[in-house]
Amino acid sequence: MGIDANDIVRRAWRDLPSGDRVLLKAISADQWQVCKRALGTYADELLRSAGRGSLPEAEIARANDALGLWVPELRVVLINESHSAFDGLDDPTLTYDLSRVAWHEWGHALSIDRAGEEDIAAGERYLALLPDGLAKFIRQAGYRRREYTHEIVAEIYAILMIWRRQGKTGRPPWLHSEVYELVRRVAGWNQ
Amino acid sequence: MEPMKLPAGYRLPKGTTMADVRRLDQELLGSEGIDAQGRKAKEGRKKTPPAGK
Repeated sequence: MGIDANDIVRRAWRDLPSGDRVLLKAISADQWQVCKRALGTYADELLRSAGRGSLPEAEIARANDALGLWVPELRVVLINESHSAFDGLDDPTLTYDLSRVAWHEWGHALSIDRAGEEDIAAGERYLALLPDGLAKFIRQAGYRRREYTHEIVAEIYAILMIWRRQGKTGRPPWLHSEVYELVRRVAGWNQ
Repeated sequence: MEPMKLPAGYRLPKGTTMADVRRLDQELLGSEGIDAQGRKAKEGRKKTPPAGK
């Protein structure tokens, strides 16, 4: 029997710096659910059953492709462990991937609550400051321009968590100081 | 009434996989902690059908 996805996400939560966990709890972003559902359809069901209305069809379709999802209206992170991206992985690889997705989503929760209008408007500029490979990845995933800042904060947050797990602190040399400061300010990163 | 805040998800670009993500991580962060994790097992985790099916 393979490793349990819930245990992986629980460990990923515990690996967060304690100050970040406090911050996430303070914004009611400390709940998550690992499921085996397409996340757009599932989030829509949860929203409707909570009386929050329905998502637009296009949003459901976009979210159905997602490996993880932050649902701000319900204050919950959803992770689809049955996503094809997780098929055929050995335990260490699955642990790496699921942890990374969870950290990304907690980064989203912090960014969506705490990024200001100026941060969001500067998304294109921040994207241009990222290493080419990372910028290309975000551009090609089909995010809207107004989502760039949130995506950058979430992705850098996840990468900084891996950096921290390697026992390293501070700003990685490839990370532009403006982007680092954005993540420090918005996500509260202080490692 | 305020408009609903839309969910924010982690999606991969078409034609890419998490292996590409791990490769990119490795380029940025070095191999430490990634080498042991950046591979597919010959007998990996089987796809689990959605609950209720």
